[in-house]
Amino acid sequence: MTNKETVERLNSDRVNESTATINLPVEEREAVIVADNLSKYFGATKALDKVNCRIAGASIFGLIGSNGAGKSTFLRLAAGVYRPTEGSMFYRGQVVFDNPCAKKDIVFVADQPYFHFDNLKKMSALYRSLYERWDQELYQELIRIFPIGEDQRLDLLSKGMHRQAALILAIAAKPRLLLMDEAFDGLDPVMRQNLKRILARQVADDGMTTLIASQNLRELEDFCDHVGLLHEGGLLFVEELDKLRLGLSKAQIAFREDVTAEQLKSAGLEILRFSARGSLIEILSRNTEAELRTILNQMNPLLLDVLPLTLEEVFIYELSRKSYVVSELLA
Amino acid sequence: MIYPEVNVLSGIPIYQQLKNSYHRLAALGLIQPHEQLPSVRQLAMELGINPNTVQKAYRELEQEGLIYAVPGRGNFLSDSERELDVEHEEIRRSFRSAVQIAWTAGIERATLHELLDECIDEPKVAEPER
Amino acid sequence: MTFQIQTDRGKGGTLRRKSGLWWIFGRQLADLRSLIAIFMFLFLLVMPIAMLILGRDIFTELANRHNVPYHEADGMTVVYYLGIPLRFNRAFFPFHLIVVTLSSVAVLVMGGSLFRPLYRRETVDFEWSLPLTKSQWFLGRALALVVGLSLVYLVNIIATSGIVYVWGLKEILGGYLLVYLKTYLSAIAFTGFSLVFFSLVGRLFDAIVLNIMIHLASPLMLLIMSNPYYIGDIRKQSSLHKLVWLFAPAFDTYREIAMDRNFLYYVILIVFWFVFGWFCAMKRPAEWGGRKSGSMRWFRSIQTFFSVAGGIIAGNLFYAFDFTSFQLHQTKLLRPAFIIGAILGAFLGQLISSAITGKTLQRVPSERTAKRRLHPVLYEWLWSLLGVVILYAVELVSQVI
Repeated sequence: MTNKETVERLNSDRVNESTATINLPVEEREAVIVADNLSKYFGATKALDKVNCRIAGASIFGLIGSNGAGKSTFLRLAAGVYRPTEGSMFYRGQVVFDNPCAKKDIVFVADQPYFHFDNLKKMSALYRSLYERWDQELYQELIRIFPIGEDQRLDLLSKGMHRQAALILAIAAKPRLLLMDEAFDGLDPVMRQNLKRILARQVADDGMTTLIASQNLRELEDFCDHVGLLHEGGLLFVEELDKLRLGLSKAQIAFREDVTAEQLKSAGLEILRFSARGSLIEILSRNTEAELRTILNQMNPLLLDVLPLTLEEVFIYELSRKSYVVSELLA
Repeated sequence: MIYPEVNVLSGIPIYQQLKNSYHRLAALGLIQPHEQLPSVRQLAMELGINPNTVQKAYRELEQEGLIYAVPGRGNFLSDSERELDVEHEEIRRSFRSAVQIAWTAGIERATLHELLDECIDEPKVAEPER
Repeated sequence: MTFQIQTDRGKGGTLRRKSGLWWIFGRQLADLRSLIAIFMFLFLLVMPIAMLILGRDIFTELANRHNVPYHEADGMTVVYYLGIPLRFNRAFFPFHLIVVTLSSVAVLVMGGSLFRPLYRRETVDFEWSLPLTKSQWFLGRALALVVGLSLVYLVNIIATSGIVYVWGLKEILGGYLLVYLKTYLSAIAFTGFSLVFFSLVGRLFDAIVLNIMIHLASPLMLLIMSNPYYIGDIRKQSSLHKLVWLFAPAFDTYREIAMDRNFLYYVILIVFWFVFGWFCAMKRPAEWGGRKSGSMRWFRSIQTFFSVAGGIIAGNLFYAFDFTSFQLHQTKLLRPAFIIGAILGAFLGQLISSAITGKTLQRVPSERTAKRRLHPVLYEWLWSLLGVVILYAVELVSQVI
């Protein structure tokens, strides 16, 4: 199926336009998930250590961290799989663990999805019998968008297809909170875009809150509104994605004569990183793009290119500010 | 209905890109005053981006006065003169930075005019996609 | 809160939903149906079908020849029902023994199939994130297991009774039905006992091996602890023996044929094991799935049991070869042969249990253990020693009784 067709289908089918409103800024909305001093130990290993965080309703929250940072543990606590060792995990004010009242609104797509039956037809019947908000119409639509047949043997499919099957079931269950571990992993770009469209619609229409964990910053940077960085069981920071990038700029410059970082600093730039390869200099500075241009143009550069700033670089900066060893985190 | 353009890889915040794009579409007259903009849902789905990001862009555009919201109906482009000034200022700012780049690169005034004419003649700018 | 959520479209919401417990029970029973069918067939094969193969004439002759009341010398008690001695016809005996064996296998196999999802991370993630409680999961599974086993038992006895009735031997049925009922109850008690292991361990392998090991150790211990003259007297009923038999419920099922027990006994036993199993299941954290049982805290108490069993068995074995000990009239507990055997056996028992459940004596070079290098080995010895202490206490008590 081409992208175009998918878009048309997604747009055309529902007459009943969104009644949900997401007029309030994310920060002012009611929290859906609250982690209160949340800790989880496995024996002597601290998988999560005193994590405090709140995730607002209808937001798309990205949880980023390397292997073993505690992302999956956090998701399992939010899904009610694990009991916190200390502290609490709340969903709309209710403890999640062993609480069907909270769990009926939550669907968890684990990194390795499990299917009790070997085709989607039986699996969908299982989900339908458990989740009150299951939407058969939505399910039918999803199996048309994702190329998995209802009767196809699930155990013969690839990892990426498994994930798609799990996502079909999870989204059709219409959770109010969707938890996804490495959600976009193994999806090709077309499916990734389709998934984003569907998730965007569920957020806009249904007020679904989404929590995505990933090792890969790039996977999340164009889709999340807020990101949290986990490292060795601690939540280093939670920030609005757009705010992170604000006031940081990166540029490639060249001058006729050699210029040192000190010279740039004395010219009024707040240099965070300075690297020179021959006469070509790359800088990361805590200035807006306009400031950067104005100051550098006064120095008559031969070349001045303002480069796009990746989230990765933003994180590196944020972390170095908190004096963490960066290479260890984002290696 | 015209949709703004977004490049997720550009490194510029998406809400900023949406805002810029709407300013441009309005300045170019591709959206008429009192014309309805796509809903948050439509835009988020069309572009595969976060509805909260779209909402944020609309909210800021409303604060800037480029658009106005009618509760229950959606967002519409406003037509106040002040907004046109904003547009002009936006364009002037872009030109200014382009001129600065050209100046540092040693490009002369005449060449710069030529370049501008070329840009205007490029079909991409004259009629943005959809 | 102005943030609104669109109401349900109504399609899914109109379905009437079962309670969580019934949902799980139905699900588990459906998953178990092929195993139930297999065991149903096996039960039928070893009892009614085998009887049919034997033929009416041979069975009738066997039944008539052995239709005598049992007395002590036969190793059987008279089974009383409402004060009336019932004659248990020994024609059923071989069939019965195979059925009992099969029943224990059925409990382990069906239970293993039901509880296997507890031991895999993916399945734990799936099951525990569903809107159901831990309690519902345990009860749903336990219920499915009991119902499955009951179905197998029920179909078997209906078929058997039918054949016996048609053959015109209905007078031998009464005694056997009672034995069958008690055997069934005992099998349910064993089910409860197994539930404890299924809920405790991190791997299915551990659950079954631990279950079998404890079953092997308990009666072996009993036999050796008993006076050699009485070896084989499975009815010996000192309180200590009763206590040890509680830890071998699968073997206890064999004894139902000769036991005259109050039904309350079964009720208490079944309730105890099921409640204990439920308690263990509730305490079981999700992260235990796939973990070696040797690394779990509760395992130490079980390890002591292995030390005690190993100590008693080896100690008594060594003592039996020490011929001088009979002449000295010295208490067994002070004989060097016994002491050496007991300590050796205790440590061996410890080692065996450790090896089985994946806890090795190897030093793990981690940050945590580096500080206390001798710890794991020392721990093994300490627990073995505790085992020997308990062993002495047990032996002392058994001699007093």
